[in-house]
Amino acid sequence: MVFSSNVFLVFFLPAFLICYFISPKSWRNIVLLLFSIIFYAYGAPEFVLYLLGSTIINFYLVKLMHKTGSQRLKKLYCGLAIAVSLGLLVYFKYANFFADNFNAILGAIGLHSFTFTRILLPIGISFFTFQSITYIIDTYRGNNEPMSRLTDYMLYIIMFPQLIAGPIVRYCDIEGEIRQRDYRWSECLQGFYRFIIGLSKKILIADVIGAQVDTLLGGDLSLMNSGTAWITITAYTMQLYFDFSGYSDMAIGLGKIMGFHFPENFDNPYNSASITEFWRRWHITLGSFMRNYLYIPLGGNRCSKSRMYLNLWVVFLLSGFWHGANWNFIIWGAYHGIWLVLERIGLKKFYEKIGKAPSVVITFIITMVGWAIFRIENLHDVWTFISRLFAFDFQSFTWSSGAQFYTTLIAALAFAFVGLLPFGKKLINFTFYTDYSIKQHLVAWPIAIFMLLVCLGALNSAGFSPFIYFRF
Amino acid sequence: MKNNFHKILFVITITLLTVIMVQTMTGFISLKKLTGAMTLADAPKLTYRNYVDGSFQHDCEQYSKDHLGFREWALRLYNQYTWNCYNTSSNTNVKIGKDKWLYESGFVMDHYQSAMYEYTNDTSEMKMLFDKEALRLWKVQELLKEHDIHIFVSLIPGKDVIYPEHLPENTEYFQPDGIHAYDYYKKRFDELGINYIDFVELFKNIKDSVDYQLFTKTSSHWSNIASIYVFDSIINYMEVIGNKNITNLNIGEKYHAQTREPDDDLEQLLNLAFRIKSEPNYYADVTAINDTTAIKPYFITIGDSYFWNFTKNIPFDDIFKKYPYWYYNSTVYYDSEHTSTREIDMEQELMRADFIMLNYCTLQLYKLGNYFIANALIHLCYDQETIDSVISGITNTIKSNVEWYNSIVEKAKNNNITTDEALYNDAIYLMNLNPEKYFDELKGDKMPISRNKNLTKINN
Repeated sequence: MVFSSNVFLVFFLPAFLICYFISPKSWRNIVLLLFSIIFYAYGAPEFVLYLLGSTIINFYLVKLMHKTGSQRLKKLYCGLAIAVSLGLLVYFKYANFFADNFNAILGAIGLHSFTFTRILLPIGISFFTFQSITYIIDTYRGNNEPMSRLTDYMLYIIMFPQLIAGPIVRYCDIEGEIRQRDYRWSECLQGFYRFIIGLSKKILIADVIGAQVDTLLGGDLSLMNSGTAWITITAYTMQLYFDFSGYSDMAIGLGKIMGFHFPENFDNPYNSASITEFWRRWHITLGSFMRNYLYIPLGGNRCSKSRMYLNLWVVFLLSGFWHGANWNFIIWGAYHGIWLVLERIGLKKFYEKIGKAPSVVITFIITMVGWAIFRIENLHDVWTFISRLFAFDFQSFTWSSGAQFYTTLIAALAFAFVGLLPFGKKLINFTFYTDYSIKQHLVAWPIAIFMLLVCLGALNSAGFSPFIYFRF
Repeated sequence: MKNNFHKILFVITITLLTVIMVQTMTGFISLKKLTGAMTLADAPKLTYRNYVDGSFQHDCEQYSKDHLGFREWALRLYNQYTWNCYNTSSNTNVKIGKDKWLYESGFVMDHYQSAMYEYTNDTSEMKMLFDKEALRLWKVQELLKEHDIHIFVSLIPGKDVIYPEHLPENTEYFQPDGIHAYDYYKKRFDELGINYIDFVELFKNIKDSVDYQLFTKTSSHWSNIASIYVFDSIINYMEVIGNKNITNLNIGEKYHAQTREPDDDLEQLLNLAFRIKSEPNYYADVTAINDTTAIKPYFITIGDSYFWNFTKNIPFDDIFKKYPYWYYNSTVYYDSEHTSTREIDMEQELMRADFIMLNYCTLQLYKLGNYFIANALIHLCYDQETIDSVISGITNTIKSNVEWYNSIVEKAKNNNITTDEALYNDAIYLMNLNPEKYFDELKGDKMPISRNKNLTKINN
């Protein structure tokens, strides 16, 4: 189930909110857990048992790990728990990829390929696997005590707002709130507003732009002129941001309604003046995970420069692979890794010299080219598209994509870059991080309800094309 | 106080969400319905299999789309937003042209690339089909004349033909060497002496000289007022070709009024929150002239939806004995009743008629008659016994081909009919598609010698 669906908005959400708020506080975790299981079971029925099973196994392995006095056994349990999580992730997410590549090698050396049944990917596996790992490692490191109740642990892993697409919440960030949390009605309201902002970003911006991106990329890329290619990649850049950050906003908003404070996942990433900064602003919780659980264990900055560069590059290579089991994701990760290394070597000094605005433009272009690699699965097509970007063939360009697309794209660009201006910073701060006064609520609430109706209209207008029907 | 305010507002929020849920489930508040015809999804039935394979969830989403509480408000609000801000419509059947003129998407397609090309890309095949159909129509016309029955074609312009200046830019269609059914048929009708009345040419000629709109900005079909003058011409034409005195129309003084149904049929399909501001058009009241010497003919129309405007404006009951309307030769409407064309007795119905009009607009003209012409030709030449033996021959051919037969069984299942019925329907379809294949005498450009001896004109 996704948030931007009728079933969630019209049935699941109100039913959950009623059950959640009429329950005594001590029951609310159970209510949330039950609804989270329903949420997952509805969207991915064939995997719900796997999710529950792996969660239960991990819970008890971590308990055993914590109890044992032996360091060797502790390591063993820790390794086992991580192996359960990562093993299933590798199996479900990467088995097809490895099998395909192995068959390609067999074919190349003239041997027969082997047949295998393709494996379906359980939704949200990348996110709940990483959440499990934070819990296992943090407990192993002694950063936190293991949970005493299985239901609390299951709630941490399965909680529906962040189950499908993050943010990746570290156990230590919400440990206290799982046990006990305060409810402030003003926060509930602001959580609702945040949810509506995310829903609007997804439905009114990302989906509108995305439909046109699909059309544009569905054509013959070699015939695309540079103008259309730049419009396409700019649109995809915006689509991805508003889609993903919209989902994070919805998750954070829902969390707030329930009294949880999930970490922010985006901080105006396209306002970054370097790729290093971009990764501090884009999918923040993934960056934080990679830093804490991969980069630092590999040696981080506390090693030779060449080793550090290698560590950085490897982390981004793996980060790319985490995004999807395909070569284009690996290349995309490597591409970002290269820019990060280049910035460490000296590019950052160049940015400092030329100033913020040109650096933001350069970083944005680098990011867009990266998104081309990310979006276009076929590597030959990636190359064709990038060569069209830099062919500087603008003569045959026409504005043919329609007013709604261009208006939405311009609005998206304005929202994406507004943070560069002092006024924009104030606006963002006010919208997301200020406790509203009663007067402000009286303005914000009707807007939120209005936007909800518009979003429902947009969601349900697709495919509603009645005919004239004549009879007498 | 402050906390209470927040609490109350949040409770109202949950209540609102709940009201939407309850409205979705029960529809307890009655709202102005969305306009236009659409098949709504049925409530999905939950089974273990469709739950696990995800089809139940998919169907639930589709069902909730069609039955969403306050969907009427939400859609109208969103449609108004896209209409005002982007000049677009979420209804893909409506295209917005220059100066916000509305066109049905089919007419836009037909203008830039004859609709016939949706059927076949082969122009020579198309010409052959038109030639065959025109020849069949000529034979039917001559055979009906023997019974004092008169058939004619009414060639109707699409909005795109009369008002091409407001059409949206073409971005989708391209057929450089295309032919159009209208041009081709008109030429053939002239060559063969087939009765027809050409409103396409007429509308083009009077477009700039009349003081009323032939099509309104927001309609797909001709305007109410235009349809009145058209039908007046049709009555005059029938009097000439049938040499009969028919009750004429008394068209009252024209008067200005706000757009009336169905002059806003396309606007209705946009399902906006507010009406589109449009120029008033002329309207007129019509009565039948009391003429005791006039006959009341039995008048059959086979055609598309352009006929509907007539029924809104013309006092048919005062002019005709009966006026069944064979909508695309599929459903027959008699006043408020309707039945399938398969249910009617073709011989009887043909012999009851005094006039038969094939009423097709430029968009639909390539489907002229929707197999009525071939079917009429067969029934005029052969009795039911001969026809039944041909049908039986075709069904036997189908049965002897396992693959073909299985596809008929499948079709029967999908349409919830018996296999025999599906077989019979397919046999009739094949016979009407190519009657020359099954009746040798119908081949060529000579009149067939055979006549259905059971036919006798039924005088009304």
